[in-house]
Amino acid sequence: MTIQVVRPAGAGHETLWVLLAATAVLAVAALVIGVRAQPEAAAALATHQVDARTQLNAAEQGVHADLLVAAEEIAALRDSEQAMPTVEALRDMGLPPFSAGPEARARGAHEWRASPQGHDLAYVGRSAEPQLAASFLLRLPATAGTDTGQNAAGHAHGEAVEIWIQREGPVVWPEGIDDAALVRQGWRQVVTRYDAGVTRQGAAH
Amino acid sequence: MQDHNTPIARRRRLLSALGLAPLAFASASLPVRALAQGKRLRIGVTLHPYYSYVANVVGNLAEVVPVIPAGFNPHAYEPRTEDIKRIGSLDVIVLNGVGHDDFAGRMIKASEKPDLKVIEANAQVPLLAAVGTGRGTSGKVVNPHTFLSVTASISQVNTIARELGKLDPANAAAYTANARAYAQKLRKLRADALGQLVKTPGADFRIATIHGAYDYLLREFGLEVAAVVEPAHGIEPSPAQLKGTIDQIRSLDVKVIFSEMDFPSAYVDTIRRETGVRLYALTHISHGPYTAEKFEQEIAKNLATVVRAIQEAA
Repeated sequence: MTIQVVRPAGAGHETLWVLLAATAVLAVAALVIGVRAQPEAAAALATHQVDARTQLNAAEQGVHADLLVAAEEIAALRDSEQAMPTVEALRDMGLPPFSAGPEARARGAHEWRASPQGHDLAYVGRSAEPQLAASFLLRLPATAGTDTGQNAAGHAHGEAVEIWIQREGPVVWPEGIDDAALVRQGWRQVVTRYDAGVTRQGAAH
Repeated sequence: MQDHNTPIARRRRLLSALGLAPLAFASASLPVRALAQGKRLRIGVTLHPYYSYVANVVGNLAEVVPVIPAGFNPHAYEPRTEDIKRIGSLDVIVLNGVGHDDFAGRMIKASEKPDLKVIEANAQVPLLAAVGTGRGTSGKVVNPHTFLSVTASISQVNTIARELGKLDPANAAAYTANARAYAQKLRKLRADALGQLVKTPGADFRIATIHGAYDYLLREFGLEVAAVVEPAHGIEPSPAQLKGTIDQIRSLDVKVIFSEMDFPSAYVDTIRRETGVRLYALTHISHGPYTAEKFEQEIAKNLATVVRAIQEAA
């Protein structure tokens, strides 16, 4: 009796082809997703800028938010009194972050000083606990330019209120509060971005 | 005798009624036109805190109209016809705009005034990233609960006053004055609450919340939230997610958990039983009737609760 092996009519390597096809589909999918990935949000910032949402810690975010609100009140006071409000006046008013409440200790115990230079006003808060929070600088323009505006990409506050922080280096009062001097002394500008609700149609995202 | 119901007689009556109708409409619209001269703005709002903000800014110089009636949970609200109709009667609407009232955009588009003027209340507020596993990595999904903090609320009140002043220049000065007075009132609330803190919380004071709503508020205390139980805004955790969060709470040595006063969840008891951590209830300010004092009353309660939690954990 002879034994005859009957091979299947096709090439017999169907499993191999199926596996190759599946691998090809996965490879193409990975390529498409890799190419279409959204760039990191922080990529739009310059080297001397930090993003308020992702690069400040909780204590710094609290102080930053308080400073933005305080800036509006300071501008209103300056318009009504025609003079730069002193830190003592702001503290007596109970305006955070100048008011020395218990939360100030948890957020870095900043010592505040007013520092007018040329036409700009600045308030500098030197952090007593640099490991808790950075030092802050609030700069207001000479004219009533507190309209901070908004656009979709990361934006600096422009010719308006600006907040700078200093984290590295010795904690000293800055000399000169113009952009170049601050960058030279290690200060970085805090930048905010407005993002509308992601399920809103027709709003800036 | 004439039959009053012949087709000809009926047609004559109908035609004379139609002929007089334009006169009737004209006389009915006259009072409306007269009102338009000294008209008060009708300002729409979507959430309870915004009702308080706008009511305190405008006083009785304008009308504040909630778009959603009281009793609806804004997290689960689906637009209804009568609410969409109400939008047609507004002059301007104030929106949270960063994720807590996204339904408003669809409603405005479907209303009689699709180009209704919108005030983005959060335009000047520095926004925090959304919490939870479902937020993605683009950094564009933000935490919309800016209305649960004093500082962000003051910023929104100022923005609302400024934008309303542009629409209603006659009352702009009054709006600004009211906004500053309200801001001072809110700052005093915050200072009074914080003044009761004898000891500030140390770096090891870890907090968890059920609903990721209190990040803005806690930053005013210099604190941040270590864990959030809801995996995304308004989404209940699955049993596996709940277990993961309970393990996380245990490993981080969380001292305090803040739960929700107005929408209690069944699994809160599970968490308390499993972790033994103290639970305190905060209010989301989204419950009950719309009143001008609601925001300051409820935020004062929240501030007092956080102060108490810090003191009792020490």
